[in-house]
Amino acid sequence: MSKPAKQLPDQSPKSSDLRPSAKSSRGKGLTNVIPPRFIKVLRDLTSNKSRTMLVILSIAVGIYAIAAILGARQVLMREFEDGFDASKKFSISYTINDSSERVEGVLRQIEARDDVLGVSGRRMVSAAFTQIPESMTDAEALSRLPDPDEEKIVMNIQATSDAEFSYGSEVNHFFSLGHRTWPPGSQDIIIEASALQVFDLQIGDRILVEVGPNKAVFRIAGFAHDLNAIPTMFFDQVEAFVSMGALTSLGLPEEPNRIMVRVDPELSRVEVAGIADSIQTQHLDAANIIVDRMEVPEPNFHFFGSLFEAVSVLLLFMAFMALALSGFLVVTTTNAILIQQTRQLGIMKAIGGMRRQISTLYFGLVIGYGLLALLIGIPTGILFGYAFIDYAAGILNFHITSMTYPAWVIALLVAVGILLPVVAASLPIQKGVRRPIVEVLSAYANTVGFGGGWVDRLLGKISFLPRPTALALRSTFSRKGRLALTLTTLLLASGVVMSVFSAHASLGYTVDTIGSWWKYDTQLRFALPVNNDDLKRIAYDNEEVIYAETWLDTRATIVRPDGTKNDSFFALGVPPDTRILDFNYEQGRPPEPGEQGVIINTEILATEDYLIPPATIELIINGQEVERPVTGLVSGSLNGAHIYMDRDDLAELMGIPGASTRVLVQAEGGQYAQSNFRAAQDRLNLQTRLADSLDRRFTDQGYMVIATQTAADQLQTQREQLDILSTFLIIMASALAVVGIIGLSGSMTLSVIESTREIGIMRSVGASHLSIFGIYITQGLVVGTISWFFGAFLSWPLSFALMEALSMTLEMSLSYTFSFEGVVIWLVFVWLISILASLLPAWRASQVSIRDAISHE
Amino acid sequence: MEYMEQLNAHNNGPLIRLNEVNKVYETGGIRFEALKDVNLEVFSGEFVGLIGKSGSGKTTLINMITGIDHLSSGEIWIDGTAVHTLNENRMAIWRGNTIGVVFQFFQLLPTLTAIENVMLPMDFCNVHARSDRAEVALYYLEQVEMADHAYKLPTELSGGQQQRVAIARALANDPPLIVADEPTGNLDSKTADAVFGLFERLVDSGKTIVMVTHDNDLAQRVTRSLLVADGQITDDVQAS
Repeated sequence: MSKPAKQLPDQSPKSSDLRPSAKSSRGKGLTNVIPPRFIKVLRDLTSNKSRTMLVILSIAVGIYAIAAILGARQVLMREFEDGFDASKKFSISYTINDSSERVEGVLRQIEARDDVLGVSGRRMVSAAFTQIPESMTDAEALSRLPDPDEEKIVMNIQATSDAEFSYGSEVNHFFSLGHRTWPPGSQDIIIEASALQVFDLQIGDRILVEVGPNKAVFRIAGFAHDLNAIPTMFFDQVEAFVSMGALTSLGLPEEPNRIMVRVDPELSRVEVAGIADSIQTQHLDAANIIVDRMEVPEPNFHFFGSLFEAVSVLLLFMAFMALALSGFLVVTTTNAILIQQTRQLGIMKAIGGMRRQISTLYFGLVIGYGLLALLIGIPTGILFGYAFIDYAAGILNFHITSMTYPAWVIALLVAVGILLPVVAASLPIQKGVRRPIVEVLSAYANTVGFGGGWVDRLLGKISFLPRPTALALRSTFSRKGRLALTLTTLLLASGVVMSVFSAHASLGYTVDTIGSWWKYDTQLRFALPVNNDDLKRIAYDNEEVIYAETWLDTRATIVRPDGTKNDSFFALGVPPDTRILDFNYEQGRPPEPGEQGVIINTEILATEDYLIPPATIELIINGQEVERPVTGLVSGSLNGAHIYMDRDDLAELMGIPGASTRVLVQAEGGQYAQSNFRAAQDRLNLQTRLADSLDRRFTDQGYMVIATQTAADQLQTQREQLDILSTFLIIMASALAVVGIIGLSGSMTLSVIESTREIGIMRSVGASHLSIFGIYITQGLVVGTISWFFGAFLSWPLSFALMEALSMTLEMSLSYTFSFEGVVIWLVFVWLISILASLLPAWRASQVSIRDAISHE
Repeated sequence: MEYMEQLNAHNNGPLIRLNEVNKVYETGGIRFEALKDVNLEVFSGEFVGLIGKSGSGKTTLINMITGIDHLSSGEIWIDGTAVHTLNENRMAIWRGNTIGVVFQFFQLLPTLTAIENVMLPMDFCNVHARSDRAEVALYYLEQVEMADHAYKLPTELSGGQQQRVAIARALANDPPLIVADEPTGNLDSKTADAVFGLFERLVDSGKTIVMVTHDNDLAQRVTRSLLVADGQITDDVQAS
């Protein structure tokens, strides 16, 4: 050991004699192993636990928000894509008008083709079902008369071979989520799992299934998941699967009426269309199987695509905001913590510490905070993300196979947790180490001047406020850099939350706007076309009906100029003088009487952009190719691609002149009656009663009603779809609000720590605990209110941009309205949050003793 | 003149030399001359007391010597080094090796124990082998009678004990010069007396000390008193 060159005269230099008999041995081992400057880093992290926790929480909350939002988004996107790939959606679909045994042979021929990956023959059956009470036997259920009060639910049944159940289908794959028997027996039915979100169904429950005049009792044998099924909550229709053998009980042949073919998903639509034509010519036509309709959907198109895209856009927007908020929070916190270290920094310089050494030490401290923040932020964020993923997957009806976060998201979190604090700290650290020692060691090193700028002078002139309030106001503005960072964090959070209020209001307003286009109270749909006059006559027999209109609906396909065909979509035949439909045209006009024009909606335009009116559309309806002028474009309304055309024209094309499949009515005292004085609830009751009454009346006369719908139901369905977006928005906005709360709380706490000396001075001149408490609560309220004020302004462009993005992804026009109500609600929240965030710091401030405050370093 | 003979035996020239040192502060357009053309020579082994009223320039003067503050004009030479020409990094290394600084408010790092505070300058200036530093630090703590408290945090120590640790820290790199700014200003008279005794022993062992003090009794015990008034050394008294 090298000894000091000179020793005090009365001391022995022998090191063996120097070992002290220290009573305390704190960090003795550490002292001998780690250099003291690194010990300082460790001790700074552990010595002031509340401050360390505050800094860690501030950084962690940012990491949590990114982990929760961005992570959830990426997992949802990946799982959706993987799930969609695994679902093996059909590339070509043939609806055939043949149920002979020849089909089986044709299926094998198609499957043997080199360009075909898989083929499935299924029978698609439109049915209705009701749940059978436990007390009722199967025989009673089958023999009882229809009960108009009983809810009849539309069910789309897919009957398929046992092999597809057992070995999995190569096309439109569905899989079991729990079952009693698999494949299902001849009296068993498998329900698509999305039905569980709407109906209370259990394995073992019995349901009465009706297909035309035929009825059969089925037992729910299990649940399956089909990504390509439309979730029940959207159209109140249940998808179900049965074995081919089960069709006999419904009086249906055990033969497929739909052939679905899957080809290479990388092929273009034109290439797929070529294969489709080849299959039809070589196999179906050759076997004399009549093809009613051939569909070649856009490869990789999912009907949920646009809604999912919208959710994705929302989550990305929120993730970006979370990143920005976290950045500001980390910068604010890091800045504040380094300001507190100013004096120690000066001491180290005075005893020989070089800039580089001191900088390294503080970067180490900041990395330490970051690492600890990651330990908290990543697990909590991922847990929140999991809950959200689970919720979203349930709503959007897809199955999550892996919750694993992508590596780059974890890397981003680590970067935010460590690199961001380091970058944020670099400026204050460099500034700190460059400050002259004499300045940082000064008793006034950390005190801030007030009165220099115009803001200070303005605040100084406010004389009507009580002294403590004036002091709180001036203190708020004393650290303008900190205030700016805190305000930016809160302002962004406030702006996002208020823009979410506006987005929510706008989506509601959109639903109301869409609802206003449909001026009916109740509509009934029939399984088979019915004569228009009969429909009207029976409808008008009901005394409450003041107006009835009949419509016709079918599926149609567009033939593109290049000869390819699009997915089938709904064609609605509407009388030219309709009083039910009152569109707000995006472009063009309604067809003139006799013009035989069509109106398309924006969801058609999304894939067929050449159809902007005026244009000519080539359609295949009922196997006939026809050309019609496109006269108008209307916004989609979340119920898919639709065209609207002259009812009689459509009836002619379908070969059912004078017939319709729907009747829509307006009722006396209903929503659209001229003398409408009834309250909303009364109108809803009337619409429901009218639906039941008309259902009974038509059923009694031998017409098969397959569905009834009130205007309120329709509105509700659309509202529920848009509410999904609102719910996602609100969940994410809440996550961001938490960032704001922690940010404000942290800023207030640091303010208290920095103002300890001032608090002591105030206490020494007579300030009570309550006064001190009040000053810090007031500071919190001032900061909160300022952030709310500017956030309200920010929320306008934010919400507008959000709605524009949603409108583009949903392929529909969304109405925009600014929510002033939301602004007011958020102000109340901001006040509550500000008080909440300031409570602990204010309490700590009020508890500071004069002795502690004056001796505070 | 035994004292002067001893000095001459030790040194050929002064340890500290200030030539025409000026320090001017300008705040808000107001110019304040804290030091005016100060000339000073301090020889190795001297125990110099700076006395004067508040605001007279005592602290500014020692801040110039330690390089904690920059002079406005003039020259400062310490142990052959032109301090006024050093950049900040070289200044830090030089200061760590040449000067031990003792502050009025002790200025120990609150999260380090006494021994760790003493080891810190060794760590910064890379003095002594890493494995020896704890033992050397203990040695210095022993010298200031604080070895029993080596592993205590500053908050567990009294003011006098903290100042002793601060002195041990100042000695850590065995600098020839100790500069102290009112080291007893925050201590009771008995503790102040003990700390002063420590300084006297350091001087006896060959250290040079420049110390600001307000305490007239203690000021009598230094070997040389400099009276500072209005930024100038107005009186220079050698102890008899």
